[in-house]
Amino acid sequence: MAAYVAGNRPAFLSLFERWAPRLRQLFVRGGLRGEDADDLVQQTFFQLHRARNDFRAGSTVRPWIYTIALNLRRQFMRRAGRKPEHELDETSAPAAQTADPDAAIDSHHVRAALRSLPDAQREVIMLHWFQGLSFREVAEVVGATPTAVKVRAHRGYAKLRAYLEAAGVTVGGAPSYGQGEE
Amino acid sequence: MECDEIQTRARGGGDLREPGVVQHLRACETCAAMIAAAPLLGARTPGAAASPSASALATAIASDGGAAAALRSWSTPLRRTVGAALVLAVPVLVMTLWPRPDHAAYPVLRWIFELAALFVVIAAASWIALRPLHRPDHGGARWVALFGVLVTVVLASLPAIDSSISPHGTDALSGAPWCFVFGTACAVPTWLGLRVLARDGDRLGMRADVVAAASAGVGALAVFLHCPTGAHGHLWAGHVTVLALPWLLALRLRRR
Repeated sequence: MAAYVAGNRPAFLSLFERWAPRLRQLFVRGGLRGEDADDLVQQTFFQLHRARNDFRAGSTVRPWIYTIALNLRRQFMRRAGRKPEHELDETSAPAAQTADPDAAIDSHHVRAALRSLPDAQREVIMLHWFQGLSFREVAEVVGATPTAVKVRAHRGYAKLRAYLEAAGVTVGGAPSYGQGEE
Repeated sequence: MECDEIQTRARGGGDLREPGVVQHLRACETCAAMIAAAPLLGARTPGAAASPSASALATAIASDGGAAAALRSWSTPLRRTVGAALVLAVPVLVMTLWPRPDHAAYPVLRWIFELAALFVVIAAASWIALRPLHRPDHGGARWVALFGVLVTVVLASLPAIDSSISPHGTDALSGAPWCFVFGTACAVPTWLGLRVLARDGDRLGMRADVVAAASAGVGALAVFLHCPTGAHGHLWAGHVTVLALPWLLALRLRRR
Protein backbone atom coordinates (compact mmCIF):
# COMPACT_ATOMS: atom_id res chain seq x y z
CA MET A 1 0.00 0.00 0.00
CA ALA A 2 2.86 2.33 0.84
CA ALA A 3 4.25 1.68 -2.64
CA TYR A 4 0.89 2.59 -4.20
CA VAL A 5 0.67 5.79 -2.19
CA ALA A 6 4.19 6.62 -3.41
CA GLY A 7 2.96 6.36 -7.00
CA ASN A 8 3.59 2.72 -7.89
CA ARG A 9 0.32 1.90 -9.71
CA PRO A 10 0.94 -1.83 -10.31
CA ALA A 11 1.34 -2.27 -6.54
CA PHE A 12 -2.41 -1.81 -6.19
CA LEU A 13 -3.04 -4.69 -8.57
CA SER A 14 -0.83 -6.89 -6.41
CA LEU A 15 -2.86 -5.89 -3.39
CA PHE A 16 -6.04 -6.77 -5.24
CA GLU A 17 -4.76 -10.15 -6.35
CA ARG A 18 -3.69 -10.97 -2.83
CA TRP A 19 -6.75 -9.81 -0.94
CA ALA A 20 -9.71 -10.00 -3.33
CA PRO A 21 -10.30 -13.78 -2.98
CA ARG A 22 -10.23 -13.54 0.82
CA LEU A 23 -12.64 -10.63 0.84
CA ARG A 24 -14.94 -12.51 -1.49
CA GLN A 25 -14.94 -15.43 0.95
CA LEU A 26 -15.67 -13.04 3.80
CA PHE A 27 -18.69 -11.62 2.00
CA VAL A 28 -20.02 -14.99 0.90
CA ARG A 29 -19.66 -16.38 4.42
CA GLY A 30 -21.46 -13.27 5.62
CA GLY A 31 -24.50 -14.34 3.61
CA LEU A 32 -24.08 -12.48 0.31
CA ARG A 33 -24.61 -13.92 -3.13
CA GLY A 34 -21.62 -14.21 -5.43
CA GLU A 35 -22.44 -11.21 -7.62
CA ASP A 36 -23.05 -8.99 -4.59
CA ALA A 37 -19.81 -10.21 -3.05
CA ASP A 38 -17.94 -9.32 -6.25
CA ASP A 39 -19.49 -5.87 -6.26
CA LEU A 40 -18.50 -5.26 -2.63
CA VAL A 41 -14.95 -6.46 -3.30
CA GLN A 42 -14.70 -3.88 -6.10
CA GLN A 43 -16.12 -1.20 -3.85
CA THR A 44 -13.73 -2.11 -1.03
CA PHE A 45 -10.72 -1.59 -3.27
CA PHE A 46 -12.18 1.53 -4.81
CA GLN A 47 -12.61 3.01 -1.32
CA LEU A 48 -9.11 1.85 -0.40
CA HIS A 49 -7.87 3.76 -3.45
CA ARG A 50 -9.73 6.90 -2.36
CA ALA A 51 -8.46 6.58 1.22
CA ARG A 52 -4.83 6.14 0.15
CA ASN A 53 -3.68 9.53 1.43
CA ASP A 54 -4.70 8.59 4.99
CA PHE A 55 -2.33 5.66 4.91
CA ARG A 56 0.85 6.16 6.90
CA ALA A 57 4.07 4.36 6.04
CA GLY A 58 4.75 1.59 8.53
CA SER A 59 1.06 0.81 9.11
CA THR A 60 -0.41 -2.50 8.04
CA VAL A 61 -3.03 -2.56 5.31
CA ARG A 62 -4.88 -5.65 6.57
CA PRO A 63 -7.06 -3.93 9.22
CA TRP A 64 -7.84 -1.18 6.68
CA ILE A 65 -9.07 -3.60 4.08
CA TYR A 66 -11.23 -5.55 6.51
CA THR A 67 -12.66 -2.42 8.14
CA ILE A 68 -13.68 -0.96 4.78
CA ALA A 69 -15.08 -4.31 3.69
CA LEU A 70 -17.18 -4.77 6.84
CA ASN A 71 -18.44 -1.18 6.66
CA LEU A 72 -19.61 -1.80 3.11
CA ARG A 73 -21.19 -5.10 4.11
CA ARG A 74 -23.12 -3.42 6.95
CA GLN A 75 -24.29 -0.68 4.56
CA PHE A 76 -25.39 -3.31 2.08
CA MET A 77 -27.29 -5.22 4.77
CA ARG A 78 -28.99 -2.07 6.04
CA ARG A 79 -30.07 -1.21 2.52
CA ALA A 80 -31.22 -4.76 1.81
CA GLY A 81 -33.33 -4.88 4.95
CA ARG A 82 -30.82 -6.39 7.40
CA LYS A 83 -31.13 -9.99 6.19
CA PRO A 84 -28.32 -11.97 4.61
CA GLU A 85 -29.48 -12.99 1.15
CA HIS A 86 -28.99 -16.68 1.83
CA GLU A 87 -31.22 -16.51 4.89
CA LEU A 88 -34.14 -16.19 2.53
CA ASP A 89 -33.32 -19.62 1.17
CA GLU A 90 -33.15 -21.94 4.15
CA THR A 91 -34.16 -24.93 2.06
CA SER A 92 -31.27 -24.61 -0.36
CA ALA A 93 -29.50 -27.80 -1.27
CA PRO A 94 -26.39 -28.87 0.60
CA ALA A 95 -23.22 -27.32 -0.75
CA ALA A 96 -21.87 -30.50 -2.26
CA GLN A 97 -24.93 -30.87 -4.47
CA THR A 98 -24.92 -27.39 -6.00
CA ALA A 99 -23.00 -25.98 -8.90
CA ASP A 100 -22.31 -22.76 -6.98
CA PRO A 101 -18.52 -22.37 -6.72
CA ASP A 102 -18.95 -20.38 -3.50
CA ALA A 103 -20.56 -23.37 -1.85
CA ALA A 104 -17.19 -25.08 -1.78
CA ILE A 105 -15.94 -22.58 0.79
CA ASP A 106 -17.72 -24.27 3.70
CA SER A 107 -20.04 -27.16 4.27
CA HIS A 108 -23.77 -26.51 4.15
CA HIS A 109 -23.98 -26.95 7.92
CA VAL A 110 -21.17 -24.52 8.64
CA ARG A 111 -22.81 -21.90 6.43
CA ALA A 112 -26.11 -22.41 8.18
CA ALA A 113 -24.41 -22.27 11.58
CA LEU A 114 -22.71 -18.99 10.69
CA ARG A 115 -26.00 -17.54 9.50
CA SER A 116 -27.57 -18.42 12.83
CA LEU A 117 -25.19 -16.14 14.72
CA PRO A 118 -25.93 -12.50 15.54
CA ASP A 119 -24.06 -10.19 13.16
CA ALA A 120 -21.59 -8.96 15.79
CA GLN A 121 -20.56 -12.53 16.67
CA ARG A 122 -20.49 -13.67 13.05
CA GLU A 123 -18.14 -10.82 12.11
CA VAL A 124 -15.75 -11.75 14.91
CA ILE A 125 -15.74 -15.45 14.02
CA MET A 126 -15.29 -14.74 10.31
CA LEU A 127 -12.30 -12.51 11.01
CA HIS A 128 -10.74 -14.56 13.80
CA TRP A 129 -11.11 -18.13 12.59
CA PHE A 130 -11.64 -17.92 8.87
CA GLN A 131 -9.44 -14.90 8.08
CA GLY A 132 -6.85 -15.50 10.80
CA LEU A 133 -6.81 -12.07 12.45
CA SER A 134 -5.68 -11.77 16.07
CA PHE A 135 -8.14 -10.57 18.70
CA ARG A 136 -6.36 -7.20 18.74
CA GLU A 137 -6.74 -6.84 14.98
CA VAL A 138 -10.37 -7.96 15.09
CA ALA A 139 -11.00 -5.35 17.79
CA GLU A 140 -9.50 -2.66 15.56
CA VAL A 141 -11.58 -3.76 12.58
CA VAL A 142 -14.94 -3.97 14.36
CA GLY A 143 -14.36 -0.94 16.60
CA ALA A 144 -14.61 -2.71 19.95
CA THR A 145 -12.24 -3.48 22.81
CA PRO A 146 -10.24 -6.74 22.68
CA THR A 147 -12.14 -7.88 25.78
CA ALA A 148 -15.50 -7.32 24.08
CA VAL A 149 -14.24 -9.16 21.01
CA LYS A 150 -13.16 -12.12 23.15
CA VAL A 151 -16.60 -12.26 24.75
CA ARG A 152 -18.26 -12.24 21.31
CA ALA A 153 -15.84 -14.92 20.09
CA HIS A 154 -16.51 -17.12 23.12
CA ARG A 155 -20.26 -16.90 22.64
CA GLY A 156 -19.99 -17.31 18.88
CA TYR A 157 -17.77 -20.40 19.02
CA ALA A 158 -19.99 -21.95 21.69
CA LYS A 159 -23.12 -21.34 19.58
CA LEU A 160 -21.45 -22.69 16.45
CA ARG A 161 -20.44 -25.84 18.28
CA ALA A 162 -23.91 -26.32 19.75
CA TYR A 163 -25.55 -25.73 16.37
CA LEU A 164 -23.26 -28.12 14.52
CA GLU A 165 -23.57 -30.84 17.15
CA ALA A 166 -27.34 -30.51 17.10
CA ALA A 167 -27.21 -30.81 13.31
CA GLY A 168 -25.37 -34.11 13.69
CA VAL A 169 -22.01 -32.89 12.44
CA THR A 170 -19.25 -35.02 13.89
CA VAL A 171 -15.50 -34.87 13.76
CA GLY A 172 -14.44 -37.24 11.05
CA GLY A 173 -10.90 -37.92 12.12
CA ALA A 174 -8.34 -35.30 12.85
CA PRO A 175 -9.27 -31.81 11.66
CA SER A 176 -7.08 -30.41 8.91
CA TYR A 177 -6.55 -26.76 9.73
CA GLY A 178 -3.25 -26.56 7.96
CA GLN A 179 -4.09 -24.55 4.87
CA GLY A 180 -2.90 -21.22 6.13
CA GLU A 181 -3.55 -18.09 4.10
CA GLU A 182 -0.71 -16.01 5.43
CA MET B 1 1.19 -18.60 26.18
CA GLU B 2 -1.04 -16.03 24.48
CA CYS B 3 -4.41 -16.43 22.73
CA ASP B 4 -2.81 -15.59 19.35
CA GLU B 5 -0.37 -18.48 19.72
CA ILE B 6 -3.21 -20.87 20.42
CA GLN B 7 -5.08 -19.58 17.38
CA THR B 8 -2.03 -19.98 15.16
CA ARG B 9 -1.45 -23.51 16.39
CA ALA B 10 -5.07 -24.51 15.98
CA ARG B 11 -5.27 -23.10 12.46
CA GLY B 12 -1.90 -24.57 11.56
CA GLY B 13 -2.67 -28.05 12.88
CA GLY B 14 -0.09 -27.77 15.65
CA ASP B 15 0.13 -29.82 18.82
CA LEU B 16 -2.51 -28.72 21.31
CA ARG B 17 -1.54 -31.23 24.00
CA GLU B 18 1.52 -29.40 25.29
CA PRO B 19 1.32 -28.44 28.98
CA GLY B 20 1.46 -24.72 28.13
CA VAL B 21 -1.48 -25.01 25.75
CA VAL B 22 -3.52 -27.10 28.16
CA GLN B 23 -2.85 -24.63 30.95
CA HIS B 24 -3.95 -21.73 28.74
CA LEU B 25 -7.12 -23.52 27.65
CA ARG B 26 -8.06 -24.11 31.30
CA ALA B 27 -7.76 -20.41 32.02
CA CYS B 28 -9.13 -18.94 28.77
CA GLU B 29 -12.77 -19.72 28.00
CA THR B 30 -12.60 -18.08 24.58
CA CYS B 31 -9.73 -20.22 23.33
CA ALA B 32 -11.33 -23.32 24.87
CA ALA B 33 -14.55 -22.57 22.97
CA MET B 34 -12.58 -22.02 19.76
CA ILE B 35 -10.68 -25.29 20.12
CA ALA B 36 -13.90 -27.15 20.89
CA ALA B 37 -15.66 -25.76 17.82
CA ALA B 38 -12.67 -25.94 15.45
CA PRO B 39 -12.97 -29.62 14.40
CA LEU B 40 -16.62 -29.10 13.53
CA LEU B 41 -15.88 -26.03 11.42
CA GLY B 42 -13.70 -28.17 9.17
CA ALA B 43 -10.83 -27.32 6.92
CA ARG B 44 -10.51 -23.92 5.34
CA THR B 45 -10.13 -24.07 1.60
CA PRO B 46 -8.83 -20.72 0.42
CA GLY B 47 -7.88 -22.07 -2.96
CA ALA B 48 -11.50 -22.89 -3.80
CA ALA B 49 -12.68 -19.30 -3.73
CA ALA B 50 -13.30 -17.48 -6.96
CA SER B 51 -11.34 -14.29 -7.56
CA PRO B 52 -13.18 -11.22 -8.81
CA SER B 53 -11.86 -9.50 -11.89
CA ALA B 54 -9.60 -6.49 -11.48
CA SER B 55 -10.58 -4.95 -14.82
CA ALA B 56 -13.77 -3.28 -13.51
CA LEU B 57 -11.80 -1.85 -10.61
CA ALA B 58 -9.10 -0.52 -12.94
CA THR B 59 -11.79 1.15 -15.06
CA ALA B 60 -13.46 2.69 -11.99
CA ILE B 61 -10.15 4.05 -10.71
CA ALA B 62 -9.22 5.41 -14.14
CA SER B 63 -12.54 7.26 -14.39
CA ASP B 64 -12.22 8.67 -10.86
CA GLY B 65 -10.55 11.86 -11.98
CA GLY B 66 -11.21 15.59 -11.99
CA ALA B 67 -11.43 18.21 -9.26
CA ALA B 68 -13.91 16.29 -7.07
CA ALA B 69 -11.69 13.20 -7.04
CA ALA B 70 -8.70 15.35 -6.13
CA LEU B 71 -10.57 16.92 -3.20
CA ARG B 72 -11.77 13.53 -1.99
CA SER B 73 -8.27 12.15 -2.02
CA TRP B 74 -6.99 14.75 0.44
CA SER B 75 -6.05 13.42 3.86
CA THR B 76 -8.85 13.36 6.42
CA PRO B 77 -7.45 16.18 8.62
CA LEU B 78 -7.19 18.42 5.54
CA ARG B 79 -10.69 17.54 4.34
CA ARG B 80 -12.11 18.26 7.81
CA THR B 81 -10.26 21.57 8.04
CA VAL B 82 -11.58 22.67 4.65
CA GLY B 83 -15.06 21.43 5.60
CA ALA B 84 -14.96 23.46 8.85
CA ALA B 85 -13.84 26.58 6.95
CA LEU B 86 -16.66 26.09 4.46
CA VAL B 87 -19.24 25.65 7.21
CA LEU B 88 -17.98 28.68 9.17
CA ALA B 89 -17.84 30.91 6.10
CA VAL B 90 -21.63 31.06 5.77
CA PRO B 91 -22.49 32.42 9.26
CA VAL B 92 -19.52 34.78 9.16
CA LEU B 93 -20.71 36.13 5.81
CA VAL B 94 -24.27 36.55 7.05
CA MET B 95 -23.14 38.30 10.24
CA THR B 96 -20.95 40.61 8.20
CA LEU B 97 -23.28 41.46 5.32
CA TRP B 98 -26.85 40.85 6.54
CA PRO B 99 -26.94 40.77 10.35
CA ARG B 100 -30.29 40.80 12.19
CA PRO B 101 -31.16 44.32 13.40
CA ASP B 102 -31.95 43.26 16.98
CA HIS B 103 -28.58 41.68 17.57
CA ALA B 104 -27.61 44.16 20.29
CA ALA B 105 -30.95 43.70 22.12
CA TYR B 106 -30.95 39.91 21.99
CA PRO B 107 -30.37 38.22 25.39
CA VAL B 108 -26.70 37.28 25.49
CA LEU B 109 -27.08 33.91 27.20
CA ARG B 110 -29.82 32.80 24.84
CA TRP B 111 -27.75 33.99 21.87
CA ILE B 112 -24.77 31.95 23.03
CA PHE B 113 -26.93 28.91 23.78
CA GLU B 114 -28.65 28.90 20.40
CA LEU B 115 -25.42 29.46 18.48
CA ALA B 116 -23.59 26.78 20.47
CA ALA B 117 -26.39 24.22 20.03
CA LEU B 118 -26.49 24.72 16.28
CA PHE B 119 -22.72 24.64 16.01
CA VAL B 120 -22.58 21.35 17.95
CA VAL B 121 -25.09 19.81 15.54
CA ILE B 122 -23.26 21.12 12.47
CA ALA B 123 -19.82 20.10 13.77
CA ALA B 124 -20.92 16.57 14.76
CA ALA B 125 -22.73 15.96 11.49
CA SER B 126 -19.86 17.34 9.38
CA TRP B 127 -17.31 15.32 11.36
CA ILE B 128 -19.17 12.11 10.61
CA ALA B 129 -19.82 13.06 6.98
CA LEU B 130 -16.08 13.50 6.43
CA ARG B 131 -15.00 10.43 8.38
CA PRO B 132 -12.11 8.30 7.13
CA LEU B 133 -13.28 5.11 5.43
CA HIS B 134 -10.87 2.85 7.29
CA ARG B 135 -12.58 3.39 10.66
CA PRO B 136 -15.48 1.19 11.77
CA ASP B 137 -18.92 2.55 10.94
CA HIS B 138 -21.77 1.16 13.00
CA GLY B 139 -24.52 3.32 11.60
CA GLY B 140 -24.56 5.87 14.45
CA ALA B 141 -24.83 8.60 11.81
CA ARG B 142 -28.58 8.17 11.72
CA TRP B 143 -28.94 9.03 15.42
CA VAL B 144 -26.70 12.07 15.12
CA ALA B 145 -28.80 13.20 12.14
CA LEU B 146 -32.03 12.65 14.07
CA PHE B 147 -30.68 14.59 17.04
CA GLY B 148 -29.62 17.33 14.64
CA VAL B 149 -33.11 17.58 13.17
CA LEU B 150 -34.70 17.83 16.62
CA VAL B 151 -32.31 20.55 17.78
CA THR B 152 -32.64 22.51 14.54
CA VAL B 153 -36.45 22.33 14.49
CA VAL B 154 -36.73 23.37 18.15
CA LEU B 155 -34.33 26.28 17.78
CA ALA B 156 -35.74 27.43 14.44
CA SER B 157 -39.26 27.50 15.87
CA LEU B 158 -38.41 29.26 19.16
CA PRO B 159 -40.26 32.59 19.26
CA ALA B 160 -38.33 35.78 19.97
CA ILE B 161 -38.52 37.08 23.51
CA ASP B 162 -39.73 40.48 22.39
CA SER B 163 -41.88 40.14 19.28
CA SER B 164 -42.21 43.92 19.00
CA ILE B 165 -38.73 43.86 17.49
CA SER B 166 -40.13 41.91 14.59
CA PRO B 167 -40.61 44.02 11.48
CA HIS B 168 -43.49 41.81 10.45
CA GLY B 169 -45.35 41.81 13.76
CA THR B 170 -47.63 38.82 14.15
CA ASP B 171 -48.41 38.42 10.45
CA ALA B 172 -47.92 34.70 10.03
CA LEU B 173 -46.49 34.39 6.57
CA SER B 174 -45.11 37.83 5.80
CA GLY B 175 -41.47 37.52 4.73
CA ALA B 176 -41.49 33.73 5.22
CA PRO B 177 -40.79 32.89 1.54
CA TRP B 178 -37.74 35.16 1.61
CA CYS B 179 -36.39 33.49 4.78
CA PHE B 180 -36.99 30.05 3.23
CA VAL B 181 -35.10 31.01 0.07
CA PHE B 182 -32.33 32.75 2.02
CA GLY B 183 -31.82 29.82 4.43
CA THR B 184 -31.99 27.24 1.67
CA ALA B 185 -29.47 29.17 -0.42
CA CYS B 186 -27.15 29.27 2.61
CA ALA B 187 -27.57 25.51 3.17
CA VAL B 188 -26.72 24.49 -0.40
CA PRO B 189 -22.95 25.32 -0.32
CA THR B 190 -22.54 23.14 2.75
CA TRP B 191 -24.48 20.32 1.12
CA LEU B 192 -22.34 20.48 -2.02
CA GLY B 193 -19.07 20.98 -0.12
CA LEU B 194 -19.59 18.02 2.22
CA ARG B 195 -20.64 15.77 -0.64
CA VAL B 196 -17.55 16.65 -2.62
CA LEU B 197 -15.21 16.32 0.37
CA ALA B 198 -16.68 13.03 1.64
CA ARG B 199 -14.58 10.12 0.43
CA ASP B 200 -17.68 8.24 -0.73
CA GLY B 201 -19.73 11.34 -1.50
CA ASP B 202 -21.18 9.80 -4.65
CA ARG B 203 -22.48 6.81 -2.67
CA LEU B 204 -23.15 8.03 0.84
CA GLY B 205 -26.02 5.70 1.67
CA MET B 206 -27.40 6.36 5.14
CA ARG B 207 -24.71 8.98 5.81
CA ALA B 208 -26.56 11.29 3.44
CA ASP B 209 -28.61 12.01 6.57
CA VAL B 210 -25.68 13.67 8.35
CA VAL B 211 -24.87 15.76 5.28
CA ALA B 212 -28.50 16.89 5.34
CA ALA B 213 -28.36 17.58 9.09
CA ALA B 214 -25.19 19.68 8.72
CA SER B 215 -26.42 21.69 5.75
CA ALA B 216 -29.89 22.21 7.25
CA GLY B 217 -28.18 23.36 10.46
CA VAL B 218 -26.11 25.90 8.51
CA GLY B 219 -29.24 27.13 6.71
CA ALA B 220 -31.14 27.49 10.00
CA LEU B 221 -28.15 29.24 11.57
CA ALA B 222 -27.97 31.69 8.66
CA VAL B 223 -31.67 32.57 9.00
CA PHE B 224 -31.30 32.92 12.77
CA LEU B 225 -28.42 35.34 12.30
CA HIS B 226 -30.36 37.29 9.68
CA CYS B 227 -34.06 37.46 10.58
CA PRO B 228 -35.47 38.89 13.83
CA THR B 229 -39.09 37.88 13.16
CA GLY B 230 -40.55 35.90 16.05
CA ALA B 231 -44.12 35.13 14.95
CA HIS B 232 -44.93 31.42 15.12
CA GLY B 233 -46.35 31.23 11.61
CA HIS B 234 -43.34 32.95 10.13
CA LEU B 235 -40.92 30.72 12.02
CA TRP B 236 -42.60 27.51 10.90
CA ALA B 237 -43.20 28.66 7.31
CA GLY B 238 -39.89 30.44 6.72
CA HIS B 239 -37.30 29.10 9.18
CA VAL B 240 -38.16 25.47 9.91
CA THR B 241 -38.82 24.79 6.21
CA VAL B 242 -35.14 25.43 5.54
CA LEU B 243 -34.69 21.76 6.49
CA ALA B 244 -36.81 20.62 3.56
CA LEU B 245 -34.44 20.74 0.59
CA PRO B 246 -31.41 19.11 2.31
CA TRP B 247 -33.61 16.27 3.56
CA LEU B 248 -35.30 15.76 0.22
CA LEU B 249 -31.86 15.53 -1.38
CA ALA B 250 -30.76 13.11 1.35
CA LEU B 251 -33.75 10.85 0.74
CA ARG B 252 -32.86 10.75 -2.92
CA LEU B 253 -29.18 10.09 -2.23
CA ARG B 254 -29.85 7.31 0.26
CA ARG B 255 -31.37 5.15 -2.43
CA ARG B 256 -28.12 5.00 -4.43
